[in-house]
Amino acid sequence: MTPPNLQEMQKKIVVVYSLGGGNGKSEIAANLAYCLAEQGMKAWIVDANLYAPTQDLIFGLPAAGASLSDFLISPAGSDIPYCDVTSKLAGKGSGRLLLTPSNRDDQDVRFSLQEILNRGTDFSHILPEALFRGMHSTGADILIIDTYPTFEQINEVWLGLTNVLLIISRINELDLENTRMFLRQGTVEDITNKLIVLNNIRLDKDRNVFHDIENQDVSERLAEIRRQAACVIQSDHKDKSSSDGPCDAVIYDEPILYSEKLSIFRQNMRKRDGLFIQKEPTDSFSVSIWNLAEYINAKTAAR
Amino acid sequence: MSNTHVPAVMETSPAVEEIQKVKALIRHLDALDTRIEQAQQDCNAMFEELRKDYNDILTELKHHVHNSVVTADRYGYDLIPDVPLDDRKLKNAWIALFRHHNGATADEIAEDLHRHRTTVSTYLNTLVLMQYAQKDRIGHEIYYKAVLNEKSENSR
Repeated sequence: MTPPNLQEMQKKIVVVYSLGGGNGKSEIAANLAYCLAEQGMKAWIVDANLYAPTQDLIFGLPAAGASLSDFLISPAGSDIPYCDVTSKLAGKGSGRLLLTPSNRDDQDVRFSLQEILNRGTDFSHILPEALFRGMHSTGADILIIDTYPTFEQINEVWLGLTNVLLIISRINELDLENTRMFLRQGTVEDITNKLIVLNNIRLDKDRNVFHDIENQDVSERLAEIRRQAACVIQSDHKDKSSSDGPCDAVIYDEPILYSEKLSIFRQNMRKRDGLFIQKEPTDSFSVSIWNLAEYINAKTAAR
Repeated sequence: MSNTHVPAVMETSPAVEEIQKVKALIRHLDALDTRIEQAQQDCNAMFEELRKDYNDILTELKHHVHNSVVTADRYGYDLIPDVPLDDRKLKNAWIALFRHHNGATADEIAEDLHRHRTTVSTYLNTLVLMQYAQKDRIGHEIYYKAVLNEKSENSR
């Protein structure tokens, strides 16, 4: 058997990150994985949002079952578990969709994991090997890691592994300022491909979805943000003493558009009703994700 | 009849001849054994001498390699081999590791790169998986060493 080319595999690891909660990160990650699978890829999504997992809900999985949390609690000699959710795909293509959820319901597992994370357990010795082994055994073309928005130690491992980072930001000054701060971190600076994806969405305290601005105003606002962000990114780089090359954070051309239907759909998420994009493939939000998936597909395939 | 009396017929019997042969061979073996032991002692002495020379030269070599890298850095020469690592962060981690010819811990490399220890440990463990580094546990510490071989090196 040919040994796996880990350098090539590493190029297929996409980390989805946001600095704050409620930016639509998990929604985008799930629907992105779905689109990539619909495009014929074998996509594996890992819910690394250990404190507030949602992928099981988004994919409409029943509660319980093996999870990333279980693996992190007792990793010795085990593989990262996953379940095949290809049946969620609408098309009959050759794509496959795999999901590793995080534990939502088992309090003992959550407490054990919390204790391990609080102890500052270093997962850098086990996660890279386990992920590469998983990618090899599943034959995954792309691995999408949905992270938790903190500066926790385990996030350093996800960020240390990837070469394609999607930073989800809402279209407002606070999120953009946070994103600018995040880009100054050494770990993030090291990542070659950083894509800032603007999501025209915000949640209220009850997690109801609204938009930041009207969809028709997005283009204008985006042009303004691009000018501002480009200036800040450039001046940040000039301040640096290192000469690792230009700061290559890119603002993705097309923001993810808010959808009224998404708002209604999210209110029913607890019913585990499946993916939005599957139900509403031609909706503005879904079309945005389809386009983003094509961009990511090209980005990870071309290199 | 005396117990020590040997009949005349026995003195020239084939049995006596055999016993004499055995005694002679044993003496021969003893002599060879002594020579073997001497040869082993000589070999050990020579081996120790060679090993000492080898270690002395290796230490001197490491010292000069280290000095050459440091001096090259100072004068802007790049003596670091170009390994075919596409990933910029992994390559930087490998170069930092290469500068520690006796190996280094993740903490040491993190200090060199001004990066979080866990991040650097992720880089180093990925390099180990890609066979660009090896790791050894010595006591409580894990030491990493850059691996340079035909597979991993692009000659400059």
